[in-house]
Amino acid sequence: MYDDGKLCKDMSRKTVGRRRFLRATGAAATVTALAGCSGGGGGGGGGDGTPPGDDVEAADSIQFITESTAPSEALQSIAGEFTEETGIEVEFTLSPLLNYTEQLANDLTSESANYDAAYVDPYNIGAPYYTDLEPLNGYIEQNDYDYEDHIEIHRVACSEFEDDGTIRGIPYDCPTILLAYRQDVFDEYGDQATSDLGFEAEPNPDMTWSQYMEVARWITENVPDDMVPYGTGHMAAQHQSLANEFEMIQWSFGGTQLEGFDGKDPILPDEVSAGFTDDASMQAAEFYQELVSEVAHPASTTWDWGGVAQAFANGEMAMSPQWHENSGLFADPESSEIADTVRWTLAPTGPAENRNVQAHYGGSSIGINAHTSPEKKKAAWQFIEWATSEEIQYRLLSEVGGTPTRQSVYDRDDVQAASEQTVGESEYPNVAPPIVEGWKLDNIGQRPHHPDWLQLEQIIYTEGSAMVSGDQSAADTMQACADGFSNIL
Amino acid sequence: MTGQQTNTIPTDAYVGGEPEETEQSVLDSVPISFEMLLLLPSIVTLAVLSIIPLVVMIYLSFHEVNFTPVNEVIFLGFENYTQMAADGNFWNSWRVTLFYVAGSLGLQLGLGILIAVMLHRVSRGENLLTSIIIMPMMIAPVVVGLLWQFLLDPSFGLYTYMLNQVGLFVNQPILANSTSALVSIVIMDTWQWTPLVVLIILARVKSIPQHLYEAARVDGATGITQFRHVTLPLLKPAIAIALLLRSMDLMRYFAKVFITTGGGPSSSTKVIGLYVYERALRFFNLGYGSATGLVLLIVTILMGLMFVETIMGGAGDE
Repeated sequence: MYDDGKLCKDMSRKTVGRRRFLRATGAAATVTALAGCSGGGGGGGGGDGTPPGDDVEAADSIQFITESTAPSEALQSIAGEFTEETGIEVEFTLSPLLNYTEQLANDLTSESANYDAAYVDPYNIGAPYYTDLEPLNGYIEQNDYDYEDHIEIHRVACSEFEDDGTIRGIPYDCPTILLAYRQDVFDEYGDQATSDLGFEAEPNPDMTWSQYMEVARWITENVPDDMVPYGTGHMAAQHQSLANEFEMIQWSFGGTQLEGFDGKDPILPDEVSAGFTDDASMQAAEFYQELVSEVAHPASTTWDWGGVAQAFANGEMAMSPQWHENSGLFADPESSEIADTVRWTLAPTGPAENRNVQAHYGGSSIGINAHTSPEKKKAAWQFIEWATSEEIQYRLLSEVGGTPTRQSVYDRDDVQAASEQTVGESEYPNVAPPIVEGWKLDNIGQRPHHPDWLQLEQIIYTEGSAMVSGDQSAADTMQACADGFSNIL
Repeated sequence: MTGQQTNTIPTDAYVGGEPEETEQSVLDSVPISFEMLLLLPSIVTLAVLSIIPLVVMIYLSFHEVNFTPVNEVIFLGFENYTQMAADGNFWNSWRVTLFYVAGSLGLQLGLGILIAVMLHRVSRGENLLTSIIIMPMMIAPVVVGLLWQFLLDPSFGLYTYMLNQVGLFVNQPILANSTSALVSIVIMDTWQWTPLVVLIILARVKSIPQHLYEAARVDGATGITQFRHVTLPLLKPAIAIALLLRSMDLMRYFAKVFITTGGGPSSSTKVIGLYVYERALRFFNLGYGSATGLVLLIVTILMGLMFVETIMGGAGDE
């Protein structure tokens, strides 16, 4: 990330290693922290990647921190089985995304090793703190772990953060943005819309974003409000969700956030510069502004990913890009008014000629804290092996709507059958959306593994919010994003 | 008399060993005074909880501290502060905070005084009314945020529905518009914390001697005149206390914005507390975050001093 000029400038400054600094300030804070410091105590060898040998006995308890997702809550509920099998107790810490990120980042950077195993969000944790995660190549080899069974995109997107093949996390779960829509609306008005618009109105993998906007507008204007008030709704609040949605559209238009990055390969070159000012990004911004501020449900600018999912379940719009993990919510008659009518397809295509992006990746892995003791590492690995095994992934899918990352789970007969059914009929609503199709490298778009991505992404959704609220033009927004990125880079 | 008594003691009588002049109690041997010793636990607690973090914060504000794999702690001098001065987002947050603090303080104080004076005039059921009025204050700010988010929801929110019935905010969600979102968070805080102002003012109103009002009435003062020339001047110390408490709290405002708008739309509700949180704890830019936090601290202290000195003045000395 450093250019030569900055490097020279840095060398001329008085520098202190961040770990040394943390230890020093940590000493000052020891008095306050003393009562709370009960973790593994470091000394794990700093993560050289050599798995603990046979002479090391696995610890009898470990701490696991994770974002509070439905699969993680389910994992916690069945963790007793792992304890019965191995004698290793697993204490779970579940927190909302931002809190989890803060807690884990603090723990990793201070090397205090309060958490031995961790849910690794590749953008919030993996990219900035991968050096604090234990390399797992040796563990995989030593234990004959079937790593290759994890579908390729997961190995690319949430396991590796360097370009040397070092594996820092084992794929665990994967929400993905696809397009959800209501079949009942298209059953009743689809033909009329198709006739009026001159193209197939029901969403399908060949639909373009401009067609999508036309269909959405047509539904808002022609379908009675008691059936559905709006054609489309979006996660366009000033929140990470807006960035996610816009990034997908920007890639599909051929634009980019970072020069040389196309939304496909997350490993960036050493030298990167801000994008956004290319013509394709400008077009994408103009399109998104019109879609959200003129066509979509007006509450779109107040909804994050949770809000837009609930609004869709309430029947507020006919079509909407959604994280597929909400399929369970839509399928549940107690929380959804449209349980029988939801269908999924790939997100629309963009005009980009050199790439295709019709889905947005949101997966995560589980890793081991590099600073914990060898005994804890050994126990943590056993936990990871269990939690990411085919059997447990299958159970998380069937019991709570997790999203398996292993091909072998999707090859099971009942899962295959469920994936061909509609959301309402499917035994496993999370496989009703075409996720495997979306994960194909030809279809998926994914964010880069940049250590400052969390901060960079904030620029996208802050400026994007001004754009969709009508306070800023699309061109000014892209320029502001480029300037903001340049400042951080 | 005393001298006589002294003289009656025989000079050869045994009166015990002479105390050794050099012997001292354990307490005497400690090189600090007894009073300081008693204060020591408080000082240590204060140091651990406030002084050390403050010193660390000041230290950090002069450094670049960024928890990424390649970064080191780099001494920057005043670079964080110069960067802050040129940071449009920082100044936008202060603009939002200024509007928010001024709007909330004005509403809370105005309504607080009005409700307290009216409550004082209630002859029956005053305790019940007071209990009802102070209820919002007992709810956690996060819950207040969730409650108002629910009430203002564009699809099923009760307040949205009521406003829609009179033709307001139709197809325009309240929290999606820069102005109405900011006004909404002012109202949320006013709803929750006006009761505190009511309690402070009510306590003072009750202590105003009735004979002052009687004298005013004899002089022909109407209700409004009595309020203006008797009640209001005597409420000055209570008003200053309410302003001080509420302003310090408002400057640190965070939870309800975090829950309801996340600072949006278009950063129109990104108060300085949220901005500092983002820099320091979401992006772990601890150096810059500390610098912005330090500025917030200084502004809060200055504002508190201003209220104490200019509004309270000598009124509290009586």
